[in-house]
Amino acid sequence: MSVQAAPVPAHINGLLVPLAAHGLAGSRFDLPKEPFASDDWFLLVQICRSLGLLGMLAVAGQRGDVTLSPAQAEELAVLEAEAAGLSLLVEQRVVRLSALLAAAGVAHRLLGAPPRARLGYRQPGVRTFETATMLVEPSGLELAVPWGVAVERVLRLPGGRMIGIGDLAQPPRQLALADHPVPTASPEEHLVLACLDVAQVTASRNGTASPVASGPGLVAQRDVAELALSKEIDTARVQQTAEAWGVVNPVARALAEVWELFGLADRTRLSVWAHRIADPPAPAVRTAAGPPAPPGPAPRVRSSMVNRVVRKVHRLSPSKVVARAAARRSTK
Amino acid sequence: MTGGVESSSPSSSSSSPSRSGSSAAARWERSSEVLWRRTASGVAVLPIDSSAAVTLEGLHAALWEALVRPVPVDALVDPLATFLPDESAAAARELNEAVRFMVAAGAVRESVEP
Repeated sequence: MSVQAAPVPAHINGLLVPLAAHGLAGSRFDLPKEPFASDDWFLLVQICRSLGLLGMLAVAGQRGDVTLSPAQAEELAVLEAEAAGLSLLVEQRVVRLSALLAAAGVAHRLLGAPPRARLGYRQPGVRTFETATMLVEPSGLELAVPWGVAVERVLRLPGGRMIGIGDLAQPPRQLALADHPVPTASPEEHLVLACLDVAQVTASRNGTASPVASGPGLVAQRDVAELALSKEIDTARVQQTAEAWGVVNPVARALAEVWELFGLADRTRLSVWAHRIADPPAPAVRTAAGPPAPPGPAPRVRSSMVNRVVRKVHRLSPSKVVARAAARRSTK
Repeated sequence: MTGGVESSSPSSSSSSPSRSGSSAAARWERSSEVLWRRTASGVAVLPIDSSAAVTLEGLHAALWEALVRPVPVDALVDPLATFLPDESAAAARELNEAVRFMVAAGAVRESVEP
């Protein structure tokens, strides 16, 4: 018997962006304090789990920014511990593969969530993951690939350009995992790649020609925000990398989108640059309709933007989770 | 005995979680061969050669944070007092048990630094 996927209730959908923004420097979202009904809680946990937001939900619960019953808090602690353990197992595989590649003299770079979390996040523990990507030179592809690590020879960028090891900064940044140095990309390169993940998801949601999105969604947007706000990020290097890879426009659009989505108050050189490219000044004929807005603090979050975000998140919601929740309700 | 680490009797030295080979002045530190990450409720640790992660909470999580550098057990009683019983012998006993647990889990080792 097939189960019809039920829509995610708007009040659950509306929690996802504030949760993805929770703890982010400069974000102006608040979470509701009302306790969760049983069905809502079940659905929220499953969606957060599938979107990689469990860590943010757990921190929100720990800080009392959402109201949890003791049973809900206990359930969340168990799920977060599982997610953390899985993330550590992925890093363990990364260390082993990196040691193998290094011993074989194969150049490689760790990409994806683990280095983004460790290099970009103020609290790396909130960013859980189930996979990592190892970019290797072609001779390394014959090695056995452990579970949890995808090995790639090249990365295909929007527009068809492909980048390999030789396109990344030399010498590589070394990420210390259990005292083992694992070569990875620079923080600026990680930011550009995270922006391209966001651009890919956005393009797939808008129905334009694009590979099927792998579903990083909100957590990729959080990656962009964390990396972009990191003290390590050099704006000029981000711009240079984007230009060298021919992806200035998608990178700028992703940055501008993330700033809007999370209602980030801080204006940085990077965000100003991104908005200038992503939102070019309107033509003179349009400005004749009224005077420009006076200078002052940025608006909290435009309601039209929130509505658009809610619709996007709704499309992101995993149908299996919704179907499971619907089936659970129908058995009551 | 658990995981190759001997248990100590209640009357054993408060600064020596294991009776075998540890002097009273033994200092303890995080093992370098451990992957770890903070969670909302504690710390998850995974020794590089282990197949299962361990989640540390309460006293154990606080102990992990305190062992960022080599420390004798005696020096941990005050900083971790909020997680320990008021009675000093009981506190020392509980702390020793926590260190032993973390040594057995592969998360903590005796420091070899002079």
